[in-house]
Amino acid sequence: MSQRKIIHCDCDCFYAAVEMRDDPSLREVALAVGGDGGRGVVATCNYAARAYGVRSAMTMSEAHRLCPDLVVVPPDMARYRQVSRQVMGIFRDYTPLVEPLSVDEAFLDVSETELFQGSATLIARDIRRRVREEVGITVSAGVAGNKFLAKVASDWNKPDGLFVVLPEAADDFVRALPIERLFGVGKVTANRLHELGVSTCNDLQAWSREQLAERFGRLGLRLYEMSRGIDPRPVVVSRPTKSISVERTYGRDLPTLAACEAALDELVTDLALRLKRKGENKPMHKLFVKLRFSDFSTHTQERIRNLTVLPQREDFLPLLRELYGDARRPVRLLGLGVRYRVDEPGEAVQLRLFD
Amino acid sequence: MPATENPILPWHESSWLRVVEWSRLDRLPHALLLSAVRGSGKRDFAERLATWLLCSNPGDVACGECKHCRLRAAGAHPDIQVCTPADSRVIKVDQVRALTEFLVQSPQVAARKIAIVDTADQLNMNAANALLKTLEEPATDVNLLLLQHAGQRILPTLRSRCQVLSLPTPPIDTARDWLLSRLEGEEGRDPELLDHALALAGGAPLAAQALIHDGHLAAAEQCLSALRQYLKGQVVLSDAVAPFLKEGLASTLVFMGRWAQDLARLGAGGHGEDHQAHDMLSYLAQHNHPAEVHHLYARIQEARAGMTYNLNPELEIGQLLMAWRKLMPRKQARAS
Amino acid sequence: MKLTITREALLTPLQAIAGVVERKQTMPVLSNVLFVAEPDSLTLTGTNMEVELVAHVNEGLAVESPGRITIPARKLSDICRSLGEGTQVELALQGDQVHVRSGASHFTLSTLPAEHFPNVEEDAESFRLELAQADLRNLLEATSFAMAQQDVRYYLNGLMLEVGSNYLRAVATDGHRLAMSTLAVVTGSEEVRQLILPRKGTLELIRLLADADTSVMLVFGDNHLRATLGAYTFTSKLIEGKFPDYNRVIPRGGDKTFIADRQSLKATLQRAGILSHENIRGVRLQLQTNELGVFANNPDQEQAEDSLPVDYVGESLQIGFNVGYLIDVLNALEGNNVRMTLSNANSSGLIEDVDNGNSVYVVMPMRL
Repeated sequence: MSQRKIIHCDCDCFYAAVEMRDDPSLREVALAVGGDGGRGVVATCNYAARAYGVRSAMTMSEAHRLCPDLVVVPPDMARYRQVSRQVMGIFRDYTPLVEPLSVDEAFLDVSETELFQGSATLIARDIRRRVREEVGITVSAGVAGNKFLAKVASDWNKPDGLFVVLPEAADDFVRALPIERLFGVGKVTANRLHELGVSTCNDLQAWSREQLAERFGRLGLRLYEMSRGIDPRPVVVSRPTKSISVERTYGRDLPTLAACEAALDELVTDLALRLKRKGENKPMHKLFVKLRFSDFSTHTQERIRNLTVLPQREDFLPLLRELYGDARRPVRLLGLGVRYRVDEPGEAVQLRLFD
Repeated sequence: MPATENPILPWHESSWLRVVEWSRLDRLPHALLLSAVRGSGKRDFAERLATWLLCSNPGDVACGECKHCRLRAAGAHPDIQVCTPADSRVIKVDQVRALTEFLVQSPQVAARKIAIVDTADQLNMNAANALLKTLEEPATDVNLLLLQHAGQRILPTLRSRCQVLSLPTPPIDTARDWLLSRLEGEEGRDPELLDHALALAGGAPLAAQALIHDGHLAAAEQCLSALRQYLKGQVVLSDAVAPFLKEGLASTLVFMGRWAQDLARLGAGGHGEDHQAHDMLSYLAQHNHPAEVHHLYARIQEARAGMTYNLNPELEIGQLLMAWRKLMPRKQARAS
Repeated sequence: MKLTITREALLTPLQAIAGVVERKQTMPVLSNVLFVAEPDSLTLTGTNMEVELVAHVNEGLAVESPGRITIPARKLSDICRSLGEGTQVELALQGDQVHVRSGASHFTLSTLPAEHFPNVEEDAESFRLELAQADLRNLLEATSFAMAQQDVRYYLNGLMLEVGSNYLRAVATDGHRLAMSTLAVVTGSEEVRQLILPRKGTLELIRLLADADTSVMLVFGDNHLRATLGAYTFTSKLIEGKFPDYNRVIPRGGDKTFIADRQSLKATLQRAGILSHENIRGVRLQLQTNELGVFANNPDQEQAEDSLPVDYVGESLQIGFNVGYLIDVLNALEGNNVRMTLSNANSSGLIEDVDNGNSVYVVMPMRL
């Protein structure tokens, strides 16, 4: 496998960030989101609160003891989920390969992304910019060749940071890592490793696969790999692909329908390439054509075509003609795509009284 | 408000009488699209018409005495709502939804409800479609007054559901007189300044007044000078962009639209309106085919349409300046 | 204007009105309360552009000089509340300010002229009906939960009141479920009249109505519904439009009817609902002889299974519902036992009280 490019994005103190975004008065105070009262627990707290030693999962009474001025707001999951959808939506603008781990973090595989000449660093930077500008919260990102390193990297410059583990620097980076940074290493495992005289990955590398497996079981095998910066796990998209499309904005508007038809060939070829690269072998459900005229009005036309072979120019032509109609207007953007049938489990339909 | 205190803008008089006549014949359309040059007073016309429609004893003008006229004068009439871009350059769908909710409820104190949309060309796509629904199912007790800056695009389906009334721009003498009367006792009555402001405002008196009051006149001069220097290659693009950016994209488009129109006129053997830009524009007119000029004008119009899509002002102004630069003869451009 | 009034005579109506006045107003005058002082009476008016509330005061009052003015509602209400109980309050207009004096306290408030206040004048009246406040309140409470909220079908964003010769009926629907409650009352109306009271007006009116036999006079106007109750006159705008034909969607001919204990059914649904999808809230009902099973699951693959004994003999049926809609109905009903009538998984269910048929509820199922 060629070098993969994985980005791990993690929103900084997500719930608290959303609260601070929506209520500026909270930005200046030590803030915890969670259940107040005796047995409440801190779900998230902002960095002002962390300065007092407040941490997630701490009881609220403990948090109050550390930080008497702590402001506590109850969680509003519906709102956080909505913000989360917005953030994940931005991630999906860069690659369809997005694996959300929770509401506030996700792995992105951008190996195939062509934006920014395929520079994962620039993509990560742009993602961070867009989330900040469009959503109003900050994201820390880590860029590396696999999920494990990307995840460690995103934590490196937190909050509001970006850290890139270049392939050539990965080895040194891993060696210096304290073992507490590894997936699955909690207090107990850490103590056991310390007893063996292991405190960094460099130390860990001295142990053989068999030795680690003997002492730590399955985790031992993972420790062996992680300490060498190896993590072959793919980014898994749980959400089925709904559509695949290509589009192009023309530097000079396409003046007529004929010009659009002429431009179609290139797009059909591009689409075929993308479809092959995605390796989506599912039968297609619909084809669509998208047009943006020079006045920015955007229109799409779609038609059910249950194809199992790659769509051809002839399949799109009638849609384009129908869409363009007798507009006689220059076209700024042309796009084509296919949609798949999405039978999401649990797709519930509320029936209506009046129809 | 008594007519004597706030007389109708002189150049609106005949249009006003036409609307009054329509109403007498019970032929006032339920949706009226008032189209006029930016800054020529169409909002004033719409507000006045709204008051008149609400008035209990309307003559040729609103009585100024009845409960409705008093509430209007106090800005407290509950049966009129005005929809204008809130914190952005566009009217958003939520605003139209609120307006729709108002329009489907019975009036509070009057016999009808009035909505003013200022302006319909600033409705974004969703908002325009939402408004379309209201226009398609007109309630009998609703008057919709949509405003449109002349030359700006609005959704054709929106336009086709309205009766269009184009309000005139006054002749230069009328505009000058009105402007003089409004600037009574103020600085800036210098006739040359007035004419320059009117020229920049495309003959629209209220816009000219605003230019004089808000110090935009000096800014316009700075912009012109920046453009001139950029064309000559005396300043770099970012320096040329700066004064325009300070005025904002909207003003930039007004300025540039004006110069481009002048340029087209000069190219066709006519006269320009902005005398300060005359030398520069004549030079460009001599060296360019009218089609090139038209292309520039279209580019500016396009930027205006694009404003509802949140263009980046800095980028857009830069591109517009480059479009101007293209009109310079090769030799000059290369010399820079 | 100059008058003296006891604190309580002023405070009660003022607080009721301040409740109508919204905090955020587009026009300053709408934050004010309109005072109209006549030689032996005082009326206070507040409005929020949809709903107007007028309070009439004629006790504990001495008007020295009549007059009309508007005064900031919340500030005056707050001042009044802070004064000692039983104290006398003097309000005197001087210039464009009103002076409020009580004992050693003296406040000066800004005012706006009375003619700037958009109070509703009586409009053409088509019909009036007097009934007990508790009856109207029950009618509205039994149905208002089903009103739509900001639906593009604007006529659903309110409550439909219908008067026939011997009944008054309230109907509300959001297009997924419908609530209808009918009060038998001789109205004298020769035709069937309908009006749609907007959501906000409906909720305000419920707040005003006492749970008592004291009467309320409802006046149907062309543009308003007016309710006079005690010292208050409530006026709301109407939604102009046609309410859908509710009779058409009340199911008849359902052949699978079961009876359940209302509280037990509610508790079962609430338990299962915990693990339904948070937004969709779908639960699956499995009806079979003398048992109703309730199942739910969510995207995290968590599941709930519950059941309760019901009176039912007949074919088995599996049907999905938004659990929230069912719980709303069970909350609105009051009796011990409910009857639910179903026919198939794609047709609406009808829910009623076993002993009281005044209110009926229709809920459309969900395909899960």
